[in-house]
Amino acid sequence: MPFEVVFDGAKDFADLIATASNLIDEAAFKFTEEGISMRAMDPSRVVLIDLNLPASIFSKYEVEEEETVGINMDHFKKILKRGKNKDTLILRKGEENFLEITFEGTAKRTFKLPLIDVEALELDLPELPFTAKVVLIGEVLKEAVKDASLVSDAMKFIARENEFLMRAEGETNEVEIKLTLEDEGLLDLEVDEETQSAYGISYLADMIKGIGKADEVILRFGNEMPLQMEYPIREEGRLVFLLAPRVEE
Amino acid sequence: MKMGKEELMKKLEEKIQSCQKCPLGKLRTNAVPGAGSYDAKVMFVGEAPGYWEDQKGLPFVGRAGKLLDELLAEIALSREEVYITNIVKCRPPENRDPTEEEIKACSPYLDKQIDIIRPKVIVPLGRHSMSYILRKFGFEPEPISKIHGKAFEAHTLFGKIVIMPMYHPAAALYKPPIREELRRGFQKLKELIRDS
Repeated sequence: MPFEVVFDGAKDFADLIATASNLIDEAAFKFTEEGISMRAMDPSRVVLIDLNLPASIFSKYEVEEEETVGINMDHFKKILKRGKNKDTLILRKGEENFLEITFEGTAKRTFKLPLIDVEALELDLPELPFTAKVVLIGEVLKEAVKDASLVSDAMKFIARENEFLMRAEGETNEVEIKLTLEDEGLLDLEVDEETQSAYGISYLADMIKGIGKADEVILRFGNEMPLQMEYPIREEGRLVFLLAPRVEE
Repeated sequence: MKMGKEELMKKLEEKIQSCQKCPLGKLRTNAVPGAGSYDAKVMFVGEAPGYWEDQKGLPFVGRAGKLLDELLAEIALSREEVYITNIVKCRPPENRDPTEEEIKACSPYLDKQIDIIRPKVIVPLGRHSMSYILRKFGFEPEPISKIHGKAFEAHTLFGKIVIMPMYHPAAALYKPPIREELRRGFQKLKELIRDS
């Protein structure tokens, strides 16, 4: 069934898709009256991505009947990268099996992206008994992941009553990033018990690519449990990642 | 309402049986989605169906299949307790190797089977299956002679999955040393299942 949605600020949308496309090759986007959603896992089943964009964050949202469209993420990303920050992005589908992607700025540019057959992921987000919740400024997490990548391929998150630590240890070097609630970078810290868990840096690096420096990032984790990373999109939307832990044996 | 494993697998099997995503769909007698337990701890992944598999719509039913049954029996397992499938679900003509395009078109079905069954151990049988499975879980493939019976541990959101590549039983039909290697590999598999 046909639909048309309009998003102001094509670059923001491109960043979102670019982040997801680092981890997945193709995805099924579900368009409903309430909004657009997408849930997918990377091929190794280490990361789950859950994207929710409610109708309210679009300047025009016309979806009469629910429709799921399969998209090659690499092609989608490359097209979206052609949009400028001030461009308006229009996603439209008619009766044909194409997604029309239009940038309206100094000119009107329209791409046609063929839709593909994608197996939708029929999986609920698991309810995990997280014991730590940390709210950070995006920039802190981005810098921490860059720091840690210099010394190791894994990074340990440690949450205590009064502090949050990110630590990486290599064969010779190590790095520790320490935050307390007195630091500007740490906005909130809720800890039920001292919690530690390690995660792969290459996955973290892909997950944080689309986060703005000033964005609030919410981390939830438990001892040797998956990390849930959530960041808001225009206040009402959200992008959530679930990352499997690196279990030391 | 959320579908159970049985329903999800049946739906997937129907999709595979009517699939036309690559030219093999036009050449087959029967597609071969796979067979065994949907709750299996161990999943065997071969290359592609051969003549008899294509005729019967079941995996590993020729002579290589008979050897696989023997190897399973030696470690007190039956086909009903494991899940057996192939990376490509339709027979390539003249039993040639599956092409990259065929693997690309067909592998989402295998991915989904793994997601639904959630095995603890995956045993790729053969070169193409080994390459695909190892790469999928972030490992670099090596020659099978180097890694036959070696355990690769992947930590996923569904927990730990161990990948243990082995020689394809067809390679052992006329080569007793490979048959012995396979026997030793299956003994390691037995220990792995016991410990998992």
